[in-house]
Amino acid sequence: MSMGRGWKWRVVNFTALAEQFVVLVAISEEKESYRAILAMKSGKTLKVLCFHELHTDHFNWHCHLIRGNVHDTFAGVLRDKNLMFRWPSFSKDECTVPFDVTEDSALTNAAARYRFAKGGGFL
Amino acid sequence: MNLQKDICAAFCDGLVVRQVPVGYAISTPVTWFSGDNLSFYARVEGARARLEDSGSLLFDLEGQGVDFSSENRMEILSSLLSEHGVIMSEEDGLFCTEWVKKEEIASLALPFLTFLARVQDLLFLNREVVKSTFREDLISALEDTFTEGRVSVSEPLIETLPHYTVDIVVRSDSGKTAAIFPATNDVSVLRAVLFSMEVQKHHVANVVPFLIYENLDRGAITQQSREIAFNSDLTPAVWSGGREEVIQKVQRYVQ
Repeated sequence: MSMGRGWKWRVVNFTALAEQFVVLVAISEEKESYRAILAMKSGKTLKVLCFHELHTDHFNWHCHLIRGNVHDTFAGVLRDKNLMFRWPSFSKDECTVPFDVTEDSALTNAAARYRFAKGGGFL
Repeated sequence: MNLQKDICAAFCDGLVVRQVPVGYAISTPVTWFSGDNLSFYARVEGARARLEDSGSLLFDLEGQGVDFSSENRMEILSSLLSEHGVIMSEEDGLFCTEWVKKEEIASLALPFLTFLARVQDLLFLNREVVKSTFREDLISALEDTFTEGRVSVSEPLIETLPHYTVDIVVRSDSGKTAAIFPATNDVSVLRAVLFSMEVQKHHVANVVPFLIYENLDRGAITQQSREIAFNSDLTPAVWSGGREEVIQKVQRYVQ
Protein backbone atom coordinates (compact mmCIF):
# COMPACT_ATOMS: atom_id res chain seq x y z
CA MET A 1 0.00 0.00 0.00
CA SER A 2 1.23 3.49 -0.66
CA MET A 3 -0.07 6.94 0.17
CA GLY A 4 1.23 10.21 -1.16
CA ARG A 5 3.77 12.69 0.14
CA GLY A 6 3.20 13.86 3.68
CA TRP A 7 1.05 10.90 4.78
CA LYS A 8 1.99 8.63 7.67
CA TRP A 9 0.02 5.50 8.40
CA ARG A 10 -0.20 2.29 10.33
CA VAL A 11 -2.45 -0.75 10.44
CA VAL A 12 -4.04 -2.15 13.60
CA ASN A 13 -5.49 -5.65 13.89
CA PHE A 14 -7.89 -6.77 16.58
CA THR A 15 -10.54 -9.39 17.23
CA ALA A 16 -14.01 -8.70 18.57
CA LEU A 17 -17.43 -10.35 18.39
CA ALA A 18 -15.77 -13.41 16.85
CA GLU A 19 -14.66 -11.34 13.85
CA GLN A 20 -11.24 -10.03 12.87
CA PHE A 21 -10.95 -6.30 12.26
CA VAL A 22 -8.31 -4.14 10.61
CA VAL A 23 -7.96 -0.39 11.07
CA LEU A 24 -5.89 1.80 8.77
CA VAL A 25 -4.93 4.98 10.61
CA ALA A 26 -3.47 7.65 8.34
CA ILE A 27 -2.58 11.29 8.86
CA SER A 28 -1.23 14.13 6.76
CA GLU A 29 -0.46 16.96 9.14
CA GLU A 30 0.66 19.24 6.32
CA LYS A 31 -2.74 18.93 4.63
CA GLU A 32 -4.67 18.68 7.90
CA SER A 33 -6.24 15.39 6.94
CA TYR A 34 -6.89 12.38 9.14
CA ARG A 35 -8.72 9.12 8.54
CA ALA A 36 -9.19 5.89 10.45
CA ILE A 37 -10.71 3.20 8.27
CA LEU A 38 -12.32 0.20 9.97
CA ALA A 39 -12.64 -3.03 7.99
CA MET A 40 -13.81 -6.52 8.85
CA LYS A 41 -11.99 -9.54 7.43
CA SER A 42 -14.11 -11.56 5.05
CA GLY A 43 -12.28 -14.62 3.74
CA LYS A 44 -9.15 -13.36 2.03
CA THR A 45 -10.50 -9.85 1.56
CA LEU A 46 -12.01 -7.05 3.64
CA LYS A 47 -15.37 -5.39 4.10
CA VAL A 48 -14.84 -1.69 4.83
CA LEU A 49 -17.32 -0.58 7.48
CA CYS A 50 -16.38 2.94 8.50
CA PHE A 51 -14.23 5.96 7.68
CA HIS A 52 -13.72 8.21 10.69
CA GLU A 53 -12.37 11.48 9.31
CA LEU A 54 -11.31 15.02 9.92
CA HIS A 55 -10.04 17.03 6.97
CA THR A 56 -10.26 20.75 7.39
CA ASP A 57 -10.98 21.49 3.73
CA HIS A 58 -14.62 20.85 4.61
CA PHE A 59 -16.93 19.56 7.35
CA ASN A 60 -16.09 18.82 10.96
CA TRP A 61 -15.43 15.34 12.36
CA HIS A 62 -17.57 12.86 10.45
CA CYS A 63 -17.90 9.23 9.50
CA HIS A 64 -18.80 7.40 6.33
CA LEU A 65 -20.32 4.19 7.63
CA ILE A 66 -22.25 1.12 6.56
CA ARG A 67 -25.85 1.23 7.66
CA GLY A 68 -27.69 -2.03 8.13
CA ASN A 69 -26.22 -5.51 8.31
CA VAL A 70 -22.46 -5.09 7.96
CA HIS A 71 -22.18 -8.64 6.62
CA ASP A 72 -24.03 -7.44 3.51
CA THR A 73 -21.22 -4.97 2.73
CA PHE A 74 -19.68 -5.48 -0.70
CA ALA A 75 -16.23 -6.92 -0.05
CA GLY A 76 -12.95 -5.78 -1.59
CA VAL A 77 -13.78 -2.12 -2.21
CA LEU A 78 -13.16 0.96 -0.08
CA ARG A 79 -16.72 2.19 -0.23
CA ASP A 80 -19.85 0.18 -0.84
CA LYS A 81 -21.80 3.02 -2.42
CA ASN A 82 -25.12 1.26 -1.82
CA LEU A 83 -24.74 0.94 1.93
CA MET A 84 -22.29 3.66 2.98
CA PHE A 85 -23.63 6.96 4.31
CA ARG A 86 -22.08 10.06 5.79
CA TRP A 87 -22.88 10.91 9.40
CA PRO A 88 -23.64 13.45 10.71
CA SER A 89 -24.91 15.85 8.06
CA PHE A 90 -23.78 19.47 8.22
CA SER A 91 -25.64 22.65 7.41
CA LYS A 92 -22.38 24.36 6.40
CA ASP A 93 -19.58 22.98 4.26
CA GLU A 94 -16.85 24.76 6.18
CA CYS A 95 -14.81 23.08 8.87
CA THR A 96 -15.13 25.02 12.11
CA VAL A 97 -12.95 22.92 14.38
CA PRO A 98 -9.16 23.11 14.58
CA PHE A 99 -7.07 20.25 13.25
CA ASP A 100 -5.77 19.04 16.58
CA VAL A 101 -4.76 15.53 15.52
CA THR A 102 -1.05 14.77 15.62
CA GLU A 103 0.98 11.70 14.81
CA ASP A 104 0.95 11.03 18.57
CA SER A 105 -2.81 11.33 19.00
CA ALA A 106 -3.88 9.75 15.69
CA LEU A 107 -3.92 6.25 17.11
CA THR A 108 -5.64 7.35 20.34
CA ASN A 109 -8.46 8.89 18.26
CA ALA A 110 -8.95 5.69 16.28
CA ALA A 111 -8.75 3.56 19.43
CA ALA A 112 -11.41 5.68 21.13
CA ARG A 113 -13.72 5.56 18.12
CA TYR A 114 -13.37 1.83 17.46
CA ARG A 115 -12.67 0.77 21.06
CA PHE A 116 -9.42 -1.15 20.75
CA ALA A 117 -6.31 -1.05 22.93
CA LYS A 118 -3.56 1.02 21.33
CA GLY A 119 0.15 0.28 21.02
CA GLY A 120 3.03 0.77 18.55
CA GLY A 121 3.94 3.64 16.22
CA PHE A 122 3.57 4.94 12.67
CA LEU A 123 5.39 4.07 9.46
CA MET B 1 -32.74 37.39 -13.80
CA ASN B 2 -29.04 37.58 -14.42
CA LEU B 3 -28.15 34.04 -15.43
CA GLN B 4 -24.43 34.72 -15.56
CA LYS B 5 -24.53 36.06 -12.03
CA ASP B 6 -26.60 33.11 -10.80
CA ILE B 7 -24.29 30.55 -12.40
CA CYS B 8 -21.28 32.39 -11.05
CA ALA B 9 -22.81 32.28 -7.56
CA ALA B 10 -23.58 28.57 -7.92
CA PHE B 11 -19.90 27.94 -8.69
CA CYS B 12 -18.39 30.27 -6.17
CA ASP B 13 -20.67 29.95 -3.14
CA GLY B 14 -19.46 26.40 -2.60
CA LEU B 15 -15.81 27.33 -2.99
CA VAL B 16 -13.91 27.48 0.30
CA VAL B 17 -10.20 28.25 0.57
CA ARG B 18 -8.53 27.62 3.89
CA GLN B 19 -4.92 27.97 4.96
CA VAL B 20 -3.22 24.73 5.94
CA PRO B 21 0.46 24.04 6.71
CA VAL B 22 1.23 22.99 3.12
CA GLY B 23 -0.34 26.18 1.71
CA TYR B 24 -4.07 26.19 0.96
CA ALA B 25 -6.91 23.65 0.99
CA ILE B 26 -9.44 24.39 -1.73
CA SER B 27 -12.86 22.82 -1.32
CA THR B 28 -15.18 22.97 -4.33
CA PRO B 29 -18.92 22.50 -4.82
CA VAL B 30 -18.24 19.46 -7.02
CA THR B 31 -19.12 16.15 -5.37
CA TRP B 32 -16.41 13.56 -5.02
CA PHE B 33 -17.13 9.83 -5.43
CA SER B 34 -16.97 9.47 -1.65
CA GLY B 35 -19.95 11.81 -1.29
CA ASP B 36 -17.76 14.58 0.16
CA ASN B 37 -16.88 17.75 -1.70
CA LEU B 38 -14.03 17.51 -4.15
CA SER B 39 -10.98 19.27 -2.68
CA PHE B 40 -7.43 19.91 -3.73
CA TYR B 41 -4.43 21.73 -2.33
CA ALA B 42 -2.03 24.48 -3.30
CA ARG B 43 1.46 23.65 -2.07
CA VAL B 44 3.38 26.87 -1.60
CA GLU B 45 7.17 26.89 -1.36
CA GLY B 46 8.58 30.41 -1.22
CA ALA B 47 7.61 32.24 -4.40
CA ARG B 48 6.43 29.13 -6.24
CA ALA B 49 3.34 26.97 -5.92
CA ARG B 50 1.64 23.98 -7.47
CA LEU B 51 -1.74 22.29 -7.14
CA GLU B 52 -1.98 18.72 -5.90
CA ASP B 53 -4.53 16.21 -4.72
CA SER B 54 -4.83 15.16 -1.09
CA GLY B 55 -2.19 12.48 -1.57
CA SER B 56 -4.72 9.74 -1.00
CA LEU B 57 -6.37 9.85 -4.43
CA LEU B 58 -4.32 7.04 -5.98
CA PHE B 59 -4.94 4.92 -2.88
CA ASP B 60 -8.67 5.73 -2.94
CA LEU B 61 -9.07 4.93 -6.62
CA GLU B 62 -7.15 1.68 -6.31
CA GLY B 63 -9.17 0.84 -3.21
CA GLN B 64 -12.33 1.40 -5.19
CA GLY B 65 -11.21 -1.12 -7.79
CA VAL B 66 -9.32 0.92 -10.38
CA ASP B 67 -6.47 -1.23 -11.66
CA PHE B 68 -3.57 1.02 -12.65
CA SER B 69 -1.61 -1.98 -13.92
CA SER B 70 -4.14 -2.27 -16.73
CA GLU B 71 -2.85 -0.88 -20.01
CA ASN B 72 -6.31 0.33 -20.99
CA ARG B 73 -6.75 2.37 -17.81
CA MET B 74 -3.24 3.76 -17.98
CA GLU B 75 -3.89 4.94 -21.54
CA ILE B 76 -7.04 6.75 -20.41
CA LEU B 77 -5.24 8.19 -17.41
CA SER B 78 -2.29 9.38 -19.56
CA SER B 79 -4.67 11.11 -21.92
CA LEU B 80 -6.51 12.80 -19.02
CA LEU B 81 -3.19 13.93 -17.56
CA SER B 82 -1.92 15.46 -20.78
CA GLU B 83 -5.28 17.10 -21.64
CA HIS B 84 -5.30 18.96 -18.32
CA GLY B 85 -1.61 19.62 -17.82
CA VAL B 86 -1.41 17.35 -14.79
CA ILE B 87 1.50 15.17 -13.76
CA MET B 88 1.40 11.91 -11.86
CA SER B 89 4.39 12.25 -9.56
CA GLU B 90 5.47 8.71 -8.75
CA GLU B 91 8.04 10.05 -6.32
CA ASP B 92 5.41 11.92 -4.28
CA GLY B 93 2.58 9.45 -4.99
CA LEU B 94 0.16 12.14 -6.07
CA PHE B 95 -1.32 14.07 -8.97
CA CYS B 96 -0.03 17.62 -9.30
CA THR B 97 0.55 20.51 -11.69
CA GLU B 98 3.88 22.03 -12.70
CA TRP B 99 5.38 24.56 -10.30
CA VAL B 100 4.40 28.11 -11.25
CA LYS B 101 4.82 31.55 -9.69
CA LYS B 102 2.58 31.82 -6.63
CA GLU B 103 0.51 34.59 -8.16
CA GLU B 104 -0.26 32.42 -11.22
CA ILE B 105 -1.59 29.43 -9.32
CA ALA B 106 -5.29 30.37 -9.68
CA SER B 107 -5.07 29.95 -13.46
CA LEU B 108 -4.36 26.24 -12.97
CA ALA B 109 -7.37 25.66 -10.73
CA LEU B 110 -10.02 25.01 -13.36
CA PRO B 111 -8.04 22.50 -15.46
CA PHE B 112 -6.93 20.73 -12.29
CA LEU B 113 -10.49 20.59 -10.94
CA THR B 114 -11.71 19.27 -14.30
CA PHE B 115 -9.02 16.60 -14.21
CA LEU B 116 -10.05 15.48 -10.71
CA ALA B 117 -13.70 15.39 -11.69
CA ARG B 118 -12.91 13.34 -14.78
CA VAL B 119 -10.44 10.94 -13.22
CA GLN B 120 -13.36 9.57 -11.21
CA ASP B 121 -14.68 8.15 -14.47
CA LEU B 122 -12.02 5.47 -14.15
CA LEU B 123 -14.28 4.02 -11.49
CA PHE B 124 -16.77 3.10 -14.17
CA LEU B 125 -14.17 0.90 -15.79
CA ASN B 126 -13.68 -1.34 -12.78
CA ARG B 127 -16.53 -3.74 -13.43
CA GLU B 128 -14.28 -6.72 -14.15
CA VAL B 129 -12.21 -6.07 -11.05
CA VAL B 130 -15.25 -5.90 -8.80
CA LYS B 131 -16.76 -8.97 -10.39
CA SER B 132 -13.52 -10.87 -9.90
CA THR B 133 -13.92 -10.99 -6.11
CA PHE B 134 -16.56 -13.71 -6.56
CA ARG B 135 -14.26 -15.59 -8.91
CA GLU B 136 -11.31 -15.16 -6.51
CA ASP B 137 -13.41 -16.30 -3.55
CA LEU B 138 -14.51 -19.37 -5.46
CA ILE B 139 -10.95 -20.26 -6.50
CA SER B 140 -9.63 -19.84 -2.98
CA ALA B 141 -12.44 -22.00 -1.50
CA LEU B 142 -11.69 -24.73 -4.07
CA GLU B 143 -7.97 -24.51 -3.31
CA ASP B 144 -8.70 -24.87 0.39
CA THR B 145 -10.68 -28.06 -0.28
CA PHE B 146 -8.80 -29.73 -3.10
CA THR B 147 -5.28 -28.41 -2.37
CA GLU B 148 -3.71 -25.90 -4.71
CA GLY B 149 -2.03 -28.42 -7.01
CA ARG B 150 -5.40 -29.85 -7.99
CA VAL B 151 -6.86 -26.50 -8.99
CA SER B 152 -5.78 -24.54 -12.05
CA VAL B 153 -7.22 -21.54 -13.84
CA SER B 154 -7.71 -20.56 -17.49
CA GLU B 155 -6.77 -23.92 -18.91
CA PRO B 156 -7.63 -25.44 -22.30
CA LEU B 157 -8.68 -28.65 -20.58
CA ILE B 158 -9.29 -30.85 -23.59
CA GLU B 159 -6.46 -31.34 -26.04
CA THR B 160 -8.75 -31.61 -29.05
CA LEU B 161 -10.56 -28.40 -28.06
CA PRO B 162 -7.68 -25.93 -27.58
CA HIS B 163 -9.88 -22.85 -28.05
CA TYR B 164 -12.19 -23.76 -25.20
CA THR B 165 -10.51 -22.36 -22.11
CA VAL B 166 -12.01 -23.46 -18.82
CA ASP B 167 -12.01 -20.79 -16.10
CA ILE B 168 -11.31 -23.16 -13.18
CA VAL B 169 -10.22 -26.78 -13.47
CA VAL B 170 -10.37 -29.11 -10.46
CA ARG B 171 -8.84 -32.58 -10.78
CA SER B 172 -9.88 -35.22 -8.26
CA ASP B 173 -8.15 -38.46 -7.26
CA SER B 174 -10.93 -40.45 -8.93
CA GLY B 175 -9.74 -39.27 -12.35
CA LYS B 176 -12.78 -37.08 -12.85
CA THR B 177 -12.35 -33.37 -13.54
CA ALA B 178 -14.64 -30.44 -12.78
CA ALA B 179 -14.65 -27.74 -15.47
CA ILE B 180 -15.98 -24.74 -13.62
CA PHE B 181 -17.29 -21.51 -15.14
CA PRO B 182 -18.14 -18.72 -12.67
CA ALA B 183 -21.19 -16.97 -14.15
CA THR B 184 -20.02 -13.38 -14.01
CA ASN B 185 -21.70 -12.16 -17.21
CA ASP B 186 -23.57 -13.36 -20.29
CA VAL B 187 -20.38 -14.22 -22.14
CA SER B 188 -19.13 -16.50 -19.36
CA VAL B 189 -22.50 -18.28 -19.25
CA LEU B 190 -22.60 -18.84 -23.00
CA ARG B 191 -18.97 -20.01 -23.01
CA ALA B 192 -19.92 -22.60 -20.40
CA VAL B 193 -22.92 -23.74 -22.47
CA LEU B 194 -20.75 -24.08 -25.58
CA PHE B 195 -18.13 -26.02 -23.68
CA SER B 196 -20.69 -28.47 -22.29
CA MET B 197 -22.13 -28.99 -25.79
CA GLU B 198 -18.66 -29.74 -27.15
CA VAL B 199 -17.96 -32.18 -24.31
CA GLN B 200 -21.17 -34.00 -25.17
CA LYS B 201 -20.57 -33.89 -28.93
CA HIS B 202 -17.06 -35.29 -28.66
CA HIS B 203 -18.02 -37.87 -26.02
CA VAL B 204 -15.41 -36.57 -23.61
CA ALA B 205 -15.49 -38.77 -20.52
CA ASN B 206 -14.84 -37.84 -16.91
CA VAL B 207 -15.29 -34.09 -17.33
CA VAL B 208 -18.15 -32.46 -15.42
CA PRO B 209 -18.91 -28.90 -16.59
CA PHE B 210 -20.22 -26.61 -13.85
CA LEU B 211 -21.78 -23.18 -14.07
CA ILE B 212 -21.67 -21.41 -10.71
CA TYR B 213 -23.73 -18.26 -10.23
CA GLU B 214 -22.78 -15.65 -7.67
CA ASN B 215 -26.50 -15.24 -6.91
CA LEU B 216 -29.76 -15.31 -8.80
CA ASP B 217 -31.08 -11.86 -8.03
CA ARG B 218 -28.66 -9.53 -9.77
CA GLY B 219 -29.00 -8.35 -13.31
CA ALA B 220 -25.53 -9.11 -14.68
CA ILE B 221 -26.86 -12.09 -16.61
CA THR B 222 -29.90 -11.86 -18.83
CA GLN B 223 -32.88 -14.12 -18.28
CA GLN B 224 -32.39 -15.56 -21.77
CA SER B 225 -28.83 -16.68 -20.97
CA ARG B 226 -29.96 -18.19 -17.67
CA GLU B 227 -32.69 -20.16 -19.43
CA ILE B 228 -30.28 -21.47 -22.06
CA ALA B 229 -27.90 -22.53 -19.29
CA PHE B 230 -30.61 -24.23 -17.20
CA ASN B 231 -31.71 -26.28 -20.21
CA SER B 232 -28.15 -27.34 -21.05
CA ASP B 233 -26.14 -30.20 -19.54
CA LEU B 234 -24.26 -27.84 -17.25
CA THR B 235 -24.39 -28.62 -13.55
CA PRO B 236 -25.59 -25.46 -11.84
CA ALA B 237 -24.78 -24.13 -8.38
CA VAL B 238 -25.38 -20.82 -6.60
CA TRP B 239 -22.62 -19.30 -4.45
CA SER B 240 -24.97 -17.14 -2.38
CA GLY B 241 -27.05 -20.22 -1.56
CA GLY B 242 -24.19 -21.61 0.56
CA ARG B 243 -20.51 -21.66 -0.24
CA GLU B 244 -19.89 -24.96 1.54
CA GLU B 245 -22.77 -26.61 -0.30
CA VAL B 246 -21.30 -25.49 -3.63
CA ILE B 247 -17.87 -26.90 -2.80
CA GLN B 248 -19.44 -30.13 -1.50
CA LYS B 249 -21.45 -30.43 -4.68
CA VAL B 250 -18.29 -30.15 -6.78
CA GLN B 251 -16.66 -32.77 -4.53
CA ARG B 252 -19.59 -35.19 -4.92
CA TYR B 253 -19.71 -34.87 -8.70
CA VAL B 254 -16.03 -35.62 -9.21
CA GLN B 255 -15.71 -38.40 -6.61
